[in-house]
Amino acid sequence: MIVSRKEVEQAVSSARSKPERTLFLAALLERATGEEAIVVGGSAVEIYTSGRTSTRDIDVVMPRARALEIVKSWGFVPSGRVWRRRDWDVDLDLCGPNLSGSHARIHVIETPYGPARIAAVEDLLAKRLAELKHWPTTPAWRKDLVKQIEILIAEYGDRLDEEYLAFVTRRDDIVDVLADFRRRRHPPDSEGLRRE
Amino acid sequence: MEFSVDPRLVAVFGSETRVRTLAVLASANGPMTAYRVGKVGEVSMPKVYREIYRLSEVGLVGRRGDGWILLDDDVGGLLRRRVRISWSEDWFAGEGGRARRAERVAAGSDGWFDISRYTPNPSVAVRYAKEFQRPPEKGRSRKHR
Repeated sequence: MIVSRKEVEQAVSSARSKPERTLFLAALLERATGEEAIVVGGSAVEIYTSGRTSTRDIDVVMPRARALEIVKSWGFVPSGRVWRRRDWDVDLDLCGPNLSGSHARIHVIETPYGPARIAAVEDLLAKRLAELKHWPTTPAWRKDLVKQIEILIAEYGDRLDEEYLAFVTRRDDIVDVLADFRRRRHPPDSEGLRRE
Repeated sequence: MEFSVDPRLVAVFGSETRVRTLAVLASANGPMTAYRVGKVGEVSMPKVYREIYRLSEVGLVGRRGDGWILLDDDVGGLLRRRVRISWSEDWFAGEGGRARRAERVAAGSDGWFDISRYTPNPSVAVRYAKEFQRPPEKGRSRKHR
């Protein structure tokens, strides 16, 4: 389906927040290309945390060829790996078709422009835990990761697919670090006190 | 493009329409009209009206104002974990509360985490190297407000 530059500009200007703008852009990309567009990475975390964590670029998993034509027609210009609309302060990173996570656990949000898809919260959580534990990070970035993880666990901890989370945390060797984050949210003693 | 429903859930609940209807209500922050449930869940209007009528007959859903809510927390919990489907208006209506809760959590998140307690596993780092290594144009422009 053809989605004109004007329609995209109207959608972007009607968004009341950055996460909403991301969802609208993802929905319009999907509508224009006819191919699934899945928001991943920091922009997905930004949606889940209602903008409490923020990122400049929007990472989208989708086949690149058709999407590139579309974003060019919408006025994005290439800047290294990303496609930029400076006036919107938006960088689009079209990551290709391979989602490194669970397709079945994607969150679909129905927008006025069609469905927008966000990577599973379990995968976002696991990636951040893996980066924290296994990748050399700067203290400032480590602090950011800790915040992101804490917010995700606090907000979504009771609706995570535990079976899947157990699988990814074993696979990525992050069982221990997740357990520590959870223990911090719900110290064993507080459980005991509640029961008493 | 449709969203897919886990066939195991269809087996448990008896029909895909029922799963979609209940899942939309489970994820909602407030009452939803049958029309909206159908639109978000990608269920035809006659089917969604019939399904909601059936579910209300057995007390699984109930009326609140102009809309419907799911009355069973256990069913809701299962569906929230297994089918993730929301309406953007509803999602963003809950944004203020989410942001406030996140603010509280973030405020108390400094200083406790000790990276030296953990032993990095190089094979996991290698697996995700492409994702963790960010080119300069992407930057780490995240900021916390």
